[in-house]
Amino acid sequence: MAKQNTSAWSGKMTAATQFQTVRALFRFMKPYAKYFYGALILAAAISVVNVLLPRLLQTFMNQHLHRMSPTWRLLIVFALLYFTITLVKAVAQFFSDYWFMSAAEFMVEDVRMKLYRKLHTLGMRYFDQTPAGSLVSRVTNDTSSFTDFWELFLTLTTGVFAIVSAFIAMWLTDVHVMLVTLLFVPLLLGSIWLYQVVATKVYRHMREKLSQLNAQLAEAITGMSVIQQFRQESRLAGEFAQTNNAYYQARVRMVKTNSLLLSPMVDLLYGGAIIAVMLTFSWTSQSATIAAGTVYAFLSYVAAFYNPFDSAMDSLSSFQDGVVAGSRVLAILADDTLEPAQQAPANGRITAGKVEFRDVSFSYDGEHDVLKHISFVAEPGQTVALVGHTGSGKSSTINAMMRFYEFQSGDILIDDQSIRQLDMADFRRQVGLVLQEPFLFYGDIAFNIRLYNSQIADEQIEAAAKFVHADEFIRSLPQGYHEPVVERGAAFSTGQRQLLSFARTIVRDPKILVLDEATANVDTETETIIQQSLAKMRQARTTIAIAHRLSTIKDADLILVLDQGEIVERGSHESLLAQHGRYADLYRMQMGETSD
Amino acid sequence: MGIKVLKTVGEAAEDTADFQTKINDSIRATRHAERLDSLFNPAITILTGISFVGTIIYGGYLVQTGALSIGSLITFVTYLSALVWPFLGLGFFFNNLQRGNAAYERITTLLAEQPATLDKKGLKQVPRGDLQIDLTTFQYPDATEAALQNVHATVQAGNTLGLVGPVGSGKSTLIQLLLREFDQYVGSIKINQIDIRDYDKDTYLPAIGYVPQDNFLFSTSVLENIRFADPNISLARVQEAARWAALHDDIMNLPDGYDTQVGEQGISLSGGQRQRLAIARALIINPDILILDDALSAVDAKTEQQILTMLHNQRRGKTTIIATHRLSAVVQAAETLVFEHGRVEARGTHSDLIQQGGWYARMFAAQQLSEKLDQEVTTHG
Repeated sequence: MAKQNTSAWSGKMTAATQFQTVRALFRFMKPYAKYFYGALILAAAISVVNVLLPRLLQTFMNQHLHRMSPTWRLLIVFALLYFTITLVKAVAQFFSDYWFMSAAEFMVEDVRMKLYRKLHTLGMRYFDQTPAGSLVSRVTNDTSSFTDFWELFLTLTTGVFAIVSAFIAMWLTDVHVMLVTLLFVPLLLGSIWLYQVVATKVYRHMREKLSQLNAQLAEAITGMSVIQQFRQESRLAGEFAQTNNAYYQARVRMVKTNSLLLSPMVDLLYGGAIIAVMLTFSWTSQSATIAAGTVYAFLSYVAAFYNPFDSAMDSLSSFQDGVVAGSRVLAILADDTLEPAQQAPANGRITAGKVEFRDVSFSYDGEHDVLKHISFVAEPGQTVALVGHTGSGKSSTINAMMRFYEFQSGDILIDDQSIRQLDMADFRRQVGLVLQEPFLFYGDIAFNIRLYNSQIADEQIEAAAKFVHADEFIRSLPQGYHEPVVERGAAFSTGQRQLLSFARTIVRDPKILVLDEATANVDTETETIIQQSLAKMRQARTTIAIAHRLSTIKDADLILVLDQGEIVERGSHESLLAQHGRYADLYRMQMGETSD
Repeated sequence: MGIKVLKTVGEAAEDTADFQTKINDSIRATRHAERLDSLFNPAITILTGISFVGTIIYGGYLVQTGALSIGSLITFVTYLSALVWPFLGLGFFFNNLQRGNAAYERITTLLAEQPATLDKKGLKQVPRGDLQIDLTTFQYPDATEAALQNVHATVQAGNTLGLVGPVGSGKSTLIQLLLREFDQYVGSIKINQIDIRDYDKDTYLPAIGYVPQDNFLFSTSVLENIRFADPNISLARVQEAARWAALHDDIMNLPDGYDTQVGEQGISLSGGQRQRLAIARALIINPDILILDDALSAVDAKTEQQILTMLHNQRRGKTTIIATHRLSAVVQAAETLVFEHGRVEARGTHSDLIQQGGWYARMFAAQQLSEKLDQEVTTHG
């Protein structure tokens, strides 16, 4: 399954987008530039010291040892000097590593926080369309890959400084031999370029296969009961084997590429360079004596020159990971499926709770109106019920009313002010929504009622629970209000979860109550309790309710019958029955008084 | 999604603040680890430095006394440098070895997991005929109390058995046993006089169509989801199954009809559409036994009625088991068992149960809708 897997690895990324992504990631690093560049400067210093140490040994051997008469004092001085430089290097290494890791960590957490904030500003449409799992992966996995992403810059800095200082040292030591070594630079750069081109392609292919594999695995595990039920284990195992094999092949290609182009290529050139250096020295030594220390120093320089290439090429794949993760993270941050915006100054407050829809039309896609010219008024304390088949526009009315989605024309007025001019924080406090599927958070019962509102006292929580008849079952739990809630409240029945979500709503004492098919999916006993609670909650509150079962909304002040986004009938239960229209039909059908 | 709740109560800012605190905690913990990590390289540098210092002093002394040539000293120093990497490598090796060990242990634990049902090779015969349930007791592994006790029922081939009762009363448990998710119980369940545990699972399970309440859909097309049991089924038969599940018209209204991708876990379909798709997926194999486990909960009353009538007409001679909260779904069942606390508290046809009073009748009173639908279905069906 999961054949049309859309992975960021499958699409080609142009050099320009890659560059933009890297630039954007550097912008994220900016607040921690002090650490980041501090670490890079130290790393550069370390690579200079790395060249300096052999030069010290060279001087020691050439100037003092060959005279066959160095004094003990001199030996000790050189040893101390060497040790001091080593100590300085160690300290520099510590701060370089520590600052670098800190900077990366700060940056990662910062991006995480930015993502989290951004997610809170995105509109409901975004969450209705994006699976939660992929968002979790963006916030955790993708951001973690940035840690390794920065590694390339550290190795690059180390590399560049090592190479430059190695060449300066060589130049100071022996210009001829330096020039010979220089001949290898184009070859080395060429092989890096070749590796980069080949490996990037192979690596992307491999990652694409891996994400296919993951997607397939995740789906098969979630759908295992269905697979077993239809005895499709072997077919799915076959499909998995195919994907797994494709990943294996891609992986083998990666290994082959690395085996051929990574270490062997660099080592070959390294070996070649050493041979060339030795040859040059032996050729020169025929005319003049070459000091042993010089040979040692040169060999160290050549090594210092080649080492960075290995690690730089190694960190190329992390760099790729980072760029791809970065592009995905940036896509979320740039997403403009925002919450509907309020109009400045947006300081209107809800006082009485009057709700009015005035000629509201609303479309999700900008083409097909799901609500057409909806108008109605709910006076403070009244109940307006929405009735209609699936897709008639009931839920869309709620989506517009809750400001989850922006409506296109007309206006929604709360206490005679446009909903767009209300203070959003006040609006959210004053409008309580009860969802069809209650959602419980990880924590305990009390937290699930209080959430993050620390002004709600324990007594209020208990009072709210009593009010909605949840107190009894909560008290029967071993730890009462501190009973832990795990896995979205799987240990509780749907009805109990529903009662908890009622308590959560009622403890905030909203002026307006919005019920979204809150009575579906529970057994009848619980439903009786829920109906009692709902009736109590509705008292003295303006209520907009969706209900499939007409018996639950008979006492509503106004019943709207929706069909294909339009109000086709309106009135009280009695007046609608008297109309002998659609509501009457629906009601008769539900009550069983067959019309024929 | 919790985000809807947080938005609704207007506590997004507080949630963000809470996340920030968690992130700060995480940074604090990580920085400690980083400090330790950062000590690794300097430690190696100092160790290497010390060995070089030793070489300078002792090697210098040896060269001075003529016991060692300068060339040998250089060779020695080169070897010394070459030693640094292996030592680092050894550290990495032990680190990896530990991680590998932990991973290996987890994998062996998973592989050693025993299948819940022992798949002894049984009868290769399609389970077709009367269903006879004679269950003395069943308890879940690790449970202390019995989940089912003294459940007895006989369903003649072609009849419908209804299972009702409060949440957790045992309806779903009985279905799990029928699906052979557990085989360890006292008593027997027989189809055509043969214990279901004696059938080969590969023959037994394909004969059963099971539609759970929360139906999982695969992220492929509507077509592939309906013919999940066999990708070779023709489009015509897929459409027929969709019509039976009152889904065909909905599908034709989708952007790409039967080729519409349902999205990850069916995200682009409504709850009712997902349920009906799951019913079509089960109907297409024309199962000898069809089990609907509260599978019509998100479907509106009119559609539910339509599907029930279709089942009644299309499934002549085949057994249907319906577990439900909405009584309208079992009103035409030949027999309905009312479960409470794992026992059958009452049983009979719909009218028997109404006459008996008790839970069913109370529920019936509360669900006027369901009761009256029953009359409608019996008059029309």
